[in-house]
Amino acid sequence: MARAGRRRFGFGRSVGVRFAAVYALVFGLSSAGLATFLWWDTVGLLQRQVESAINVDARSLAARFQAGGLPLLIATINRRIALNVDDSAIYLVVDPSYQPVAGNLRGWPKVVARLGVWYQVPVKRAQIVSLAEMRGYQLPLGFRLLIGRDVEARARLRALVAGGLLWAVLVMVVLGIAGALAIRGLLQRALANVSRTANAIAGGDLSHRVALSGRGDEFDLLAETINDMLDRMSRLMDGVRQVSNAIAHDLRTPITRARARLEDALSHAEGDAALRAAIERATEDLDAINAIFQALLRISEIEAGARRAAFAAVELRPLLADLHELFTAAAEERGLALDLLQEDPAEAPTLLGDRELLQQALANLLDNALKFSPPGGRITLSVRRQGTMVEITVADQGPGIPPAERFRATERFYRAESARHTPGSGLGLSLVQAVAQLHGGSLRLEDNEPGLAATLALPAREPRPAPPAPLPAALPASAA
Amino acid sequence: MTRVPLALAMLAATLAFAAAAGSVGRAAGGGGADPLAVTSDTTHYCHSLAAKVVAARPPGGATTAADALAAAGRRLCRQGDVLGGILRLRHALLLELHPADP
Repeated sequence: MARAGRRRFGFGRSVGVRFAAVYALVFGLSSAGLATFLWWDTVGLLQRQVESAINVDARSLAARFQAGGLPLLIATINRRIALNVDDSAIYLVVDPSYQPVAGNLRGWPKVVARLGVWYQVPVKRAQIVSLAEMRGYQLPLGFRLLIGRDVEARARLRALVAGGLLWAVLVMVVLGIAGALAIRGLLQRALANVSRTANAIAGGDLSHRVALSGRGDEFDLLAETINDMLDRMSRLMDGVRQVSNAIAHDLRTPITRARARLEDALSHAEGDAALRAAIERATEDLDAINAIFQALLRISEIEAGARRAAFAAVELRPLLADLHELFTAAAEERGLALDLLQEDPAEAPTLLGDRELLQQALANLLDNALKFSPPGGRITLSVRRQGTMVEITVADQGPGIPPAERFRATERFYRAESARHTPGSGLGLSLVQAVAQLHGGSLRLEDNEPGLAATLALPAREPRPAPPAPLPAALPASAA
Repeated sequence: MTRVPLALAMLAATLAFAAAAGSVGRAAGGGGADPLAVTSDTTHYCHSLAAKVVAARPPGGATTAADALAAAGRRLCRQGDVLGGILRLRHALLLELHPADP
């Protein structure tokens, strides 16, 4: 089975998973960015404030030392400690041998090994341990200054914010995963619908269609497009099937007939003349088959558009006159009248197209009209301008085509019930339709009351500035 | 990359953030060392601060609030509430040195 060998997508290859991962990544990055901003704007701000205060303090004390030497520095530090109402300041001045000179620490902390670097050191104040941020500075004459601030409150706030953000991130992770799974599920459901239909089509069930949700969203638009495509494919498949059946049916009869004649001649022919006659009739049957194939190939060639490159200006007046002349004799033989009507014989419309194909298309329409017109009937070949189009109509007084069957009349090998006993292959109108479409026009089948009016509408080569009033001129077949 | 399993990627991001939030982001601290003793929380310092308050008393006499805070500070220091006493003495000193901006 073909499906058994079909590749199944792994977790990482799934489009749904990839969409979900992208969603989770974007959501995670957004959340991380928000958390970073909150952290920077709360804990970071407090830390920057402490560091700024210590640096300002250090510059001020250094200036004092420069101005009044060690005594003024000591006095200033003692005064700042004495006035430190919130009891958070830490000062220490040591001499070059690290002996304390002033401040509220017993000695230089061992952990503060380098000057100019921020340290966080636990300090004990009235038997209460807290955290202090401090930094060492170099003073002239080998003295060193240590300034610190109690940051226990900030540390607690930082822990509080960090804990809150951590929980927030965990919640975001859960929400991100849930959202990603939801997106994955949504995509999988939407694509599973299409996949089911595709599998059914692949399995041979061309009637299956993608279900619409009714929400009118992008998936519904996609489903509608796919369904339209499947409808078109179904029609094409029906056409191919119908053509195949028609070919088999229409060719079997003449082939069987030719075979029977040859077989009969082989068994019962008396003399060369009878044998030759049988072979000639069989050859005629085979020629008819060959003509059908040539017509099919010609329609395919026209539909492929290969002949469009050979388009040239085609004047309709001589073309229609030739056709009128050609078919008048055949019409008279059958007791029919063939009229050619032109709205303005002096001004012949011009088309851009293939003269041979146009002639063949119109000949097919006239041939049909001759075949289906009752004796004494009248056939009209007319041409008129309709906006930018030129309309050539062949109207007869035959049985016509019922409205319900007209849309099928241009299908290959289609024969109306009323035409079953009339010679023909059912390819004539197919060729006319193909020629019309090749020239950017259309074939229109209408009721002539009675009869059929087949109109070939083709774009004119150049539009006329102003349409003149219709001036029909009748050319009876008998007068032509 | 999108092929990294989703849960592992998000867990890694969470752990990275947790590590960043929990870290101090500073040079070596004194986490394992004994806390540094601050000397401005002793009874001795409280007494020396009380003496500074007296010495800083302006010639015309201190304000009632400054006197009250100084007296309370001395009393608390005597009673053993050193931090409370130091806090009041600092306020008293602040009032004496900057009477217009208490």
